[in-house]
Amino acid sequence: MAEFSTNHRENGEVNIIELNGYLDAHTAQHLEQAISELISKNKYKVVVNFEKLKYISSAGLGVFMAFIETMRTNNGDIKLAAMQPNVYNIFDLLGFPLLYEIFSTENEAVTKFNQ
Amino acid sequence: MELSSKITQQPRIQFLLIAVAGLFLFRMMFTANTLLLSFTSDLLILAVFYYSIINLNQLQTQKRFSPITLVKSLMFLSLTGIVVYKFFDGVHSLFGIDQIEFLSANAIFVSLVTYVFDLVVILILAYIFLVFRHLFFLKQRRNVKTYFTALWVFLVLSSMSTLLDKYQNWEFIKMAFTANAVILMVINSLKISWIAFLSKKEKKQLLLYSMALIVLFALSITVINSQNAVTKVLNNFSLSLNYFNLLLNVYGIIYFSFLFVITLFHLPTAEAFDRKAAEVSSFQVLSRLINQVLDFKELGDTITDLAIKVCNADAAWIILLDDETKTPVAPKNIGFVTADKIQSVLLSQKNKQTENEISFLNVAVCNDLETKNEQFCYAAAAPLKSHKKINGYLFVAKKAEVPFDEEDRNALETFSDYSSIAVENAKLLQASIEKERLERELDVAREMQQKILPQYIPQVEHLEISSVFVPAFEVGGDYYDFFELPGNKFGFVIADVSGKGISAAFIMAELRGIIESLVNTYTKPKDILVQTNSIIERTLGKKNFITAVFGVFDFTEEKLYLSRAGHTSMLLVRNNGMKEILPNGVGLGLTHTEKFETFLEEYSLELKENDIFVLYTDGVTEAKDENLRDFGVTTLKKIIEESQSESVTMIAQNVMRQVSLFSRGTPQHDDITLLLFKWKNNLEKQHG
Repeated sequence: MAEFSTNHRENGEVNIIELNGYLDAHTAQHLEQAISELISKNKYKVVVNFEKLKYISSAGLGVFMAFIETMRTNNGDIKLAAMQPNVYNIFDLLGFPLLYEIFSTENEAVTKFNQ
Repeated sequence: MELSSKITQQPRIQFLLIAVAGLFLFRMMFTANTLLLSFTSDLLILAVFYYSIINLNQLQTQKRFSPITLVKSLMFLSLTGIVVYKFFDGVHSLFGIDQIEFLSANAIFVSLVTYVFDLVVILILAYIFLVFRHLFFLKQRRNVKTYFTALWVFLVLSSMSTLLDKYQNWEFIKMAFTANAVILMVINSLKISWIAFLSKKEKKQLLLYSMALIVLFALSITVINSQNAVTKVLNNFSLSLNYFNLLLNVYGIIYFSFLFVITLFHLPTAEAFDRKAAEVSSFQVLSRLINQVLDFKELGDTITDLAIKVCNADAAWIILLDDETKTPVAPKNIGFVTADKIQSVLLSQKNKQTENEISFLNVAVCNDLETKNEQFCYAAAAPLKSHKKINGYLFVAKKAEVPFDEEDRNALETFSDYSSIAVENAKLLQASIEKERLERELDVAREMQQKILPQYIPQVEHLEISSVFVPAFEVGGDYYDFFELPGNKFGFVIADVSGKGISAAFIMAELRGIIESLVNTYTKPKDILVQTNSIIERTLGKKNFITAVFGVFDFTEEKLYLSRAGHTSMLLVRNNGMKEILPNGVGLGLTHTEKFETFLEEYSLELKENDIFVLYTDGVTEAKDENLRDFGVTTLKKIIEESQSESVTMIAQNVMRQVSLFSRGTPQHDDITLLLFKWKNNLEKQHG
């Protein structure tokens, strides 16, 4: 039932992963793979664009938790951007805004990296 | 089968014995020197001959014959015939007695010996005839029985008509029947349909045997027709039998001459036929495997073994696309390194259009592919498809400097189709075994969860309490509990472990243990959650977290203390108003720095009469309808507001009814937990 896809772009040093569809326990693996691939290429600056993400489950949230430490210890980060209100609510409820940088647009997130 | 053949065998041997005895008595009493007597004698011989065939056939039905063994037995029989004639000739001249001198002292002995010889001749002829019959009917598809019956009738007729020739001088009748018989011999000799099924080696053998048999039959004709003692004895015994013998030998010569020529023509295509036969038998093995194989490795071995056979290759291996590393599975006669090199070149040639086709590679032109000992010249890759999806590739490679031809290509194509079904079956089987394992695991997880959750709702003086728990099939990791705390306090927890199944159930068990021990030392919700966060770090994986609310009702102070670690809000209904309470707090396991503690808010509230507190897990608000819309917190609030005057149990029931109505089209994907409290301080007042 759940359709999910990712799309990878680069903006200078920053890697942008666009999420599309439903991110749950079954599709989380897909995102994990995408991020692992970046790490294997020593790319640690990641912006995740949530604009087209319709739903996220706890397993989906777990993906960001799994990688954030690796990114930060390598002078990188995972910055989250352009969430739909329902998706943001889930992040907010859990307290993610305290631990992750969440931006309303992708550009803001990229700019933050370049500062 | 065996029993019935035994039963029918018995009387037939008797018939044979009766016929043999009858013939003997007849010969002792009469000398066959008139047409009638000769004819009667011949009829008796025919009976002996017929029952010999029947009995010999019965002896053979237990065996299956191959054409080559039949031809060999013919060789043996005709050779035996010649030896027997020669032997009897020798014996006869040794005694120096002519058959006509019947009155000598050892007449009885001589006639006995002669009779036994005659019988042996009949037996050999019967056997030869029987073998011809088997050869004729071997692998015949159409009904050709008429041809053979006609031959056999004309053979008998022409044999019998020798009597008319002798006694009436009607030679033309004999000639006419004989001509018919010979024509039928030719027709029947053209009806050989088993040569094509022989292997090349067998065909070569057959050429040799045919030549030998032609010589043997010709030899036997000269022996019969030479004017020696044997001929005299046989002619004296029965002219017809001798003529039959002659005709049978002629049939043999005609038959094997044709056979020789036909085999000769078949020889060039013999190899192709051999290959087809090998293919067919490989496919038979494989189609049996399709339904049998439990062990994936065994299946792979069989596929590569057979692939080498069907397309004349030297090496074969499989790769599965599920496997990221594309490691060769079940490689035969090839090393991993070479296989890897060849497959990477072959796969790099594939694009969207050609991925469904077999691709070929001339390895010899790729210099970098040559490795010591393993010099392959040609390689091919066939996709393993199921439901139009490519699951993997079957590779074959050969050392000979002849490229794979059209035949190999077709064989590989058909073979890879068969293989992909087998591979798909094996995968499905593995998946269903895995599914069964998961289901058992989930049973365990559900059982754990049931045992972890409170078995009954505690009776507390100032609180009306209700709880609802509906587990999801996959075990969602919801947890709640109540604690009687020292100092006239009552604690509760509601939590949701991320993840599902047995791993969630384990974390729940751990969480319960941690909280149960912490409530002995701590009574502040914040302290309990902060301690839990630091202890549970060891249990939680990087990807897992827990959302939780810990609350404490202080009956003395009439206050509620509460902290929220990333969990859903608490709803408060007071004075017909609805309030969503959402103190700051990060989920357990999200961070193990001091941030968790600094951000975790200590919320407290003065309790008022009939305050209703509702806690829930996201299984309630994220229950889905058929359009995948959420039940949502707004709907939840509305239902609670509408039924706030009722008991907490009734409120819980209303909520659950609405949730199940809303989500009836879709399966419940997460645990649902509802926890309700109503503050009742002035019990006396209310009852009074």
